[in-house]
Amino acid sequence: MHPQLSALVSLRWHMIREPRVRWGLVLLSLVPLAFCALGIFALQLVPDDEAFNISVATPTLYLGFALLAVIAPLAAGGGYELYPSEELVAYPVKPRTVFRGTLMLAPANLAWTLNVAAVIIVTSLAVGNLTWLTLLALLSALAYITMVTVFGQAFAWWIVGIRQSRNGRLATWAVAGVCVLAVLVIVRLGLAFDALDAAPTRLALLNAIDGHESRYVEWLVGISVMVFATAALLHIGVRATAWSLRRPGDHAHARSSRPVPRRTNKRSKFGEVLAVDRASVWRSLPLRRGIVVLLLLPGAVAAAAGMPWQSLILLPGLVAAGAGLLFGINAFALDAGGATWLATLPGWPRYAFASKMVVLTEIALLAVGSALLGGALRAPPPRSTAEVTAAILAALACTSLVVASGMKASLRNPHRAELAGTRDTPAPPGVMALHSIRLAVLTTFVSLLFSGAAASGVWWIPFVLAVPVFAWSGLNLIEAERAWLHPHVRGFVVTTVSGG
Amino acid sequence: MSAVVEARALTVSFGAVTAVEGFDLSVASGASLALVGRNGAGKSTTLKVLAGVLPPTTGSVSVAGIDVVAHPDRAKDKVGYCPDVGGLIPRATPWEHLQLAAKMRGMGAGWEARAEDLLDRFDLIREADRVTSGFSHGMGRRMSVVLAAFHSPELLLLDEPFDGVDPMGVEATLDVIRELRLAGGAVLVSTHLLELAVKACDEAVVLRRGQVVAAAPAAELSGEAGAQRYRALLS
Repeated sequence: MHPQLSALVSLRWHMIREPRVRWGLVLLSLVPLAFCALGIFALQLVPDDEAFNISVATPTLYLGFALLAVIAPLAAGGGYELYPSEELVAYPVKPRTVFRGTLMLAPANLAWTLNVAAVIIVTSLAVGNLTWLTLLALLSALAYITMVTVFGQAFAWWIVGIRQSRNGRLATWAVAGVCVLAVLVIVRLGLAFDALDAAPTRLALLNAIDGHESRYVEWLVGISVMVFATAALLHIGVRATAWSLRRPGDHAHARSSRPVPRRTNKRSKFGEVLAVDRASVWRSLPLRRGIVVLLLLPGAVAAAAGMPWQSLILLPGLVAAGAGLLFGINAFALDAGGATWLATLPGWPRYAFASKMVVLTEIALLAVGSALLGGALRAPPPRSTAEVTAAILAALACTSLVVASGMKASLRNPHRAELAGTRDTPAPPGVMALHSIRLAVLTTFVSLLFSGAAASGVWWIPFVLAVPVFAWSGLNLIEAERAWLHPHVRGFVVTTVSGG
Repeated sequence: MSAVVEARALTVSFGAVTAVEGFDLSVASGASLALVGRNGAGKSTTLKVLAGVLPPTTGSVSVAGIDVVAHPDRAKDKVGYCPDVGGLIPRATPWEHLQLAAKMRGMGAGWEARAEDLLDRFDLIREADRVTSGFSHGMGRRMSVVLAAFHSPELLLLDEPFDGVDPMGVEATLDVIRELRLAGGAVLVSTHLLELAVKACDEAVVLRRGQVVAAAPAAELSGEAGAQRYRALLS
């Protein structure tokens, strides 16, 4: 590791004061590995006809991963950072450090980690029987994952640089519009399957198959190409980062100096607090970007894939977890430095908790609703009413879980976070990773229960299943509100998020 | 004159660290008191307790005769607080801060005129509808003083109100302090700027490691002799 990067990583590690959090992070790094191992062995039980269908779709999955590897760092303005940029402004941090730091934190993105696991698991099935040669195939998949991730990160930094000027922003929107239009035309002309079949990602899968089928020379050539491409992309990424960081931006300044239309006075105290909290979310660049991605991407992917209802049930949970990770795990950070002043307003604590909860619920519901709607548009007809009720109730139940879990985490482990820059996150990278896995596991488990309820074919079973989930969320929210109303807890949260 | 703020045996601890250690404080109606001392002396923590942001670990605090711990909302009605750090919601505008404060404090019709007057005096009227994240440090400080003084509180708590503020802003803050005292309010100012503390306040209390080490008329800390005496108290 580069000395500057290793120093920053080491400092970040030593900033984790609680041993249990350190242990949690170590264990966390093992979770995706365990998940992959479990998935690889579980897929061996899939019937042959279904295994064939999955294998055929593998290049498309690779393509989807490539798309995500580009979109995720793009939405985050280049990727997550080890430290907020303003904390390092006085130090000569090299672009190489910035780029490799953001690359290293790619796994902190829940969607990235889940897709990596999916690529590895599906590759193991697509190449054939499970033998020791499957390891070679998985090496190919890992080489592909690394190459595409480095490409996505380098591309994102390049776009960040372009978007520093008004013309650059217009140009990127225009190109994005043309791309969307092209996809729509291809789908409309019925050429979608031909286009997917022609995707170059099949070459990566073929390389994995070469490894599995003992064609060592071909495998070695293929994997070498990917390794060399990764090395070249690393170099290009550092150059792109250096160029982007050098370019003077006109965006943030223009945005903060632009007057905001004055709104009318709200009729109630709660209305005023809620209006301020909503503005804090929608005026935050990283939150707005994250919301837009959550509103569009999962729904579009579900629609494009034409997911059956049984699979659709699993989608809202992960989307709700993504919404929680936007700011829900540190909801009081929305007030940032203003928290100490807010805490002196009579009655504010009573309204503040409810307001943060409402704003988080709104965002999560919007995201899960859009994902469900997108999926439902092209899903085959449901096999039973139970599938529909299970999908809707899974969405609502997972939303309630994420809100309750997020509000509790906001009190237990608050952080100072400005949420102003494109790469800002509500918590440090390690904490983000912990919450990612925790929320993903929680919501996936609950979604699987609903999936099982849907398989029963009885429409009311999902309702029965939803009752304990809502009760658990409700009780946790009541407990969290009680904690918030305690002056010691509130004082700790307020002084932490305000940096005082 | 009756005491607007009364603290008795006030102690504030954060785990093993004691920030404020058993001190008494009393500020009468119409009076102003400067809290001075080195970093970490306990000035900001004291103000946070008086403002109701932090609870005291032990001891009692009352504002205008109202116990801050037992009746926090009633006490907060009487207090205006400018925190030392931040103090502004980054993505809200000054006007939105004032709308929220007016509603939460139950200020009736006419609050807009008061808000505009204060924004004008602090040279922030043209910035009223810009989000505060784009403000300079000095603008942020001025806005925090506006918010603290907005409802004409009985107790005004100003933590580093002059830090990075231009001379016009300093004058506007001193004016607000004068007006409030004339109206019978009490003012507590925490600052490292000794000369401005002397200008703003009658009395001064020097804190060191959470304890009061001296209390004297603020004028005695003025000039070179006052500064020397102050330094001697700090070491």
